[in-house]
Amino acid sequence: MQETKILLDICFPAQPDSLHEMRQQVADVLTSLGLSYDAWHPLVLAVDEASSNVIRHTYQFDGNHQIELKILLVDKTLIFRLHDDGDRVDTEKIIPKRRNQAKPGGLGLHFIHEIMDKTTLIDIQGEGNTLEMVKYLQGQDAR
Amino acid sequence: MTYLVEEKDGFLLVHLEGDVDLSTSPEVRKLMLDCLRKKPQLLIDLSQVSYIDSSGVASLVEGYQLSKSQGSEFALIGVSEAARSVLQLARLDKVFPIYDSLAQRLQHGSI
Repeated sequence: MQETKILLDICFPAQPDSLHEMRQQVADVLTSLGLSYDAWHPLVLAVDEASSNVIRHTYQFDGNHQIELKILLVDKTLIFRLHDDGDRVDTEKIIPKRRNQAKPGGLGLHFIHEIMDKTTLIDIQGEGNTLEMVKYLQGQDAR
Repeated sequence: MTYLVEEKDGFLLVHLEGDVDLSTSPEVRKLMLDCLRKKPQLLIDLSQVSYIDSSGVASLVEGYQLSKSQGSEFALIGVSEAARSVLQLARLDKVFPIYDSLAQRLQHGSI
């Protein structure tokens, strides 16, 4: 059985102003694994985009809610779990649509799917939404 | 995020510094659209941008689209590594006109 390490377990206000500090915490965790800037920067971006989507679409900028973020390391696999207590999200909504490059919409989902190896809405707590994003660290440091 | 707007060599230059994310991109969007309405030659300096997300990129796209619709100029200069990697991910690095500096833009011809 592979050991699961909890690298980060935080809860932050669902407000745009909270994103900077969250990103810093995620970056600190990833750099402590020995990941290069080119490896950790996209992962921070993906977590930030997922959090922004919760703030914008699930909570509609109602900053009284919280977002939970867990980062797990299982062998050489990073798992980012983002949980909100908002209304259930249609799983179709996390699938990026074909993008027109010169149109601004849908970029956040595009980034998440380009960066992560697997993105799934999982049902583990019975309420709200839990988005799980998986990144395999093949060939990268994960001390 | 902070910004500075200056007029130089016939261009309006907007220097952005810091993080352009969900909390700051509405201000960036408004700033760019206001600038484009004032002067049809706008350069956005991204050399001091430490982070940009999809909402920041979307603001740049809006500025670019407005400039195209009104026949004005909109270009990016001194794009930082952090911003360049996100533009590449968005596949927009070949869509925006990008110059290393104002001097390089001036070498490409007069306004």
